[in-house]
Amino acid sequence: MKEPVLKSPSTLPSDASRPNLDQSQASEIILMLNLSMAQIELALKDSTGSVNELTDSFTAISRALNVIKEVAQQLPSPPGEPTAKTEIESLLGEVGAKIGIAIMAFQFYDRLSQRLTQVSRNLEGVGELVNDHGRLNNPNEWIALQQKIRAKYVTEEDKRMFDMLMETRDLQKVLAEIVRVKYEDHQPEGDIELF
Amino acid sequence: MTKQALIVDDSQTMREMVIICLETLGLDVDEASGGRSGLEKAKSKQFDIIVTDQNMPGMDGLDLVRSLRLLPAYAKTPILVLTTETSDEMKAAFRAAGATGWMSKPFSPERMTAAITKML
Repeated sequence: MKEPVLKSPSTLPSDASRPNLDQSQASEIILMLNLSMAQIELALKDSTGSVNELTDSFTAISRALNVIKEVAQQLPSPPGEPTAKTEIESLLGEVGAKIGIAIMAFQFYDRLSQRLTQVSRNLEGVGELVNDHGRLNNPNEWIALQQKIRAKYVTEEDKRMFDMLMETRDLQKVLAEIVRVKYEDHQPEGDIELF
Repeated sequence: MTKQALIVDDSQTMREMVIICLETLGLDVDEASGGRSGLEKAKSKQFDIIVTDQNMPGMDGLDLVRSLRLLPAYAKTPILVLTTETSDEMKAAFRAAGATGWMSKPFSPERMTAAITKML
């Protein structure tokens, strides 16, 4: 059966259509990929347990603050006098602002773990391909893998990073450009649209 | 009577962050770690608002919204999609499926609570 001709997202200068690896190189690459995957998996496992504990504690603190807020509302507040109630309410406002900042920070950890999981799966895909001699020398397999990896990206930033790297092959240049756009554009967080 | 909310997300961290926001609004919040378990919870108890992620193993957020809208009890219930997805195609798919709103991650608590207040 004639294999379909797949087009790379950016055929040049990527060498996906011209694979050129011998078996010993392939074995070493698989070894390094497995090492990287093991490190990522262990890092995720270690950090997820700690972050879950941190999240649970943070949720409990937030709930306790809600109760304190309710109790504070029941305190007497004689007019014209500084009271414990106003002091507590002021402090609750400050703590509430800190909680808001922490909620954003927790979400960035979540995004980090999603990205690392995705990286690990991508490395696994590369390892499987390199480990299969038939696939290894089939340009369509490499291009299909690239397309599969790109299709899994959910943000425009990741897709742009992929396209730029395929096109330029210059990691530092791509990272510098992505960081520049990220901070110059200053996209609003939590963009919302009600239908 | 206290309003009931359901958050559906496969990330425990994300669920907890949404729960904190919804509880400050005085809502009772239930949680599910996937689309299928979220749908089962919705069938066993009536919720006033549902917040769902898109990318989850098994049933994703889009299928969850479609399934919920087939249930008479959820024909008009507000459903907020909370996702890292940024494509206009996905947003249009959720709109067509009957979602009430779309919010990108990471969300700010102020914007989240303002949106939920408006939707309820």
